[in-house]
Amino acid sequence: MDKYSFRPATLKDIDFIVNTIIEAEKSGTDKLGLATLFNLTEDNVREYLHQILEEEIDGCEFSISSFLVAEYRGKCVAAVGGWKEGDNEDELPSAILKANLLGYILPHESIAFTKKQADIIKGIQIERVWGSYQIEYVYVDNNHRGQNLAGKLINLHIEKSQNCKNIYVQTFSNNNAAIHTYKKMGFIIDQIYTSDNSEIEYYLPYNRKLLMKKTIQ
Amino acid sequence: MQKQEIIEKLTPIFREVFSDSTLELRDEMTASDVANWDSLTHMLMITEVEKQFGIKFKLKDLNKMKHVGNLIEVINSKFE
Repeated sequence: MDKYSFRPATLKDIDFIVNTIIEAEKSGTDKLGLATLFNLTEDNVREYLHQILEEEIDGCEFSISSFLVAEYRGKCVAAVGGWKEGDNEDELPSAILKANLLGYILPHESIAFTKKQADIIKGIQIERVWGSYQIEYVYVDNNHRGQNLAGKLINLHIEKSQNCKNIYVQTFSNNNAAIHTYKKMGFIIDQIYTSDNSEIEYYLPYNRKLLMKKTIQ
Repeated sequence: MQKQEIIEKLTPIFREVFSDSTLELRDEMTASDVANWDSLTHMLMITEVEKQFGIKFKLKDLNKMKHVGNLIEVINSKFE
């Protein structure tokens, strides 16, 4: 494992972080919610995520400061995002920070498009617990899987989480590899969220999400 | 722009976006006080406010809006 090094992400890692968000959102499928729900192409999403991350707003899943990366020979090969919910300059919920960033950067017609899709995702929108630590967007490059890089990065986040009692991670319930990794690390299934809307399969990787929790003793 | 005038224009936007025809705005009201106020409806509310008032918020403005009272103040500042 000596060949890997771990550090916080910086603006220089933007391309890799954008890729991390896109691949994690797809959860091993070809459904990118950020594209389907906002009527954008994957290239559009890539460009807008760049702009969003460049704003450097802390405290949500679209914050460059939320990410830790693993490097191999000077190149990023894995990344995991995480933050303490509500612990940001303006003490806002991360959902509002994220919405402000999307609303500020995306074209108005993309926002208007989501109005029609709101009901589709309703059942699987998970409210984040204030003061808890949130893990979001876990990605490891194909060539570097099997080295427990995700586990190492998540543990580094847990070390950073200081006095957070609960660590949460969300995943689609068909992502067996992710669920296996989280269970091995002591996460348990806290809640299951399902959407009964049959259209969801056109928009998101799966119709069921798991909220997994690890309690720090 | 008078505060009352802003509230009168904001109320139908909130009622429509958050699907609550009886919603009454209060300064201290936040996302946690309104049933359908989530990330998606928040975006819709902001873009509708921009459209109806003919203004454009800065990201800094948006992140200072902790409650409805802040939103009213920011809208007001755009007309000063």
